[in-house]
Amino acid sequence: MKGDKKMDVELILKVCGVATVITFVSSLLSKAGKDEQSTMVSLLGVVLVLIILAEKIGVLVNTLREVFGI
Amino acid sequence: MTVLRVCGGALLAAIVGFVLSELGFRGKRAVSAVVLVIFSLTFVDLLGDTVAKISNVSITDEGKEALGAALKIVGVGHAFSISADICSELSEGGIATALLLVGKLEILLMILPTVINLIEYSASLFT
Repeated sequence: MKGDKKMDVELILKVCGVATVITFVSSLLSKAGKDEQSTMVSLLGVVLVLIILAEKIGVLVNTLREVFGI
Repeated sequence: MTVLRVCGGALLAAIVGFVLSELGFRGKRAVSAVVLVIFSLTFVDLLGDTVAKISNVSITDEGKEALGAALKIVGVGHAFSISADICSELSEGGIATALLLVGKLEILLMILPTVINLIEYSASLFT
């Protein structure tokens, strides 16, 4: 593929890393009998990912607007 | 951007998604949605180069207007398609189906004036 357009692989790595860490921490807390804290950590992870998702959707919408003049 | 970079990103996301679903991470679909949005962004960026080249083709003013309308229709189609894919990824199949329906209707409404002009022109050929 030509062009100097870069795919944001770093962001994919970041999101996957955050999700993996959150999952491990949540599992550890759950195994230690701290279910409430485990749930809160899981929810925190979900919220973080959703924030990143919302930001990227905004960028996507602006790019579509610029490219196609919608 | 290289082919390997894109393929590597996709494979990495798929493997991590599998691991997260096995470990029971609740936000696994959100992670997949983020990856889908990043790929859609890359796709639209690539398409942007092609659209720019097509827009710079030297043709008449009417031709440019028609080309602009055609590109807008392509953009609307892609916008609805990508949005429906993201909704499906987040397990909202109903919203995705409704989006696709609205998208088809929108495109139909956009091409309606052109179709009417075509019918009128065809009718004028026979009268």
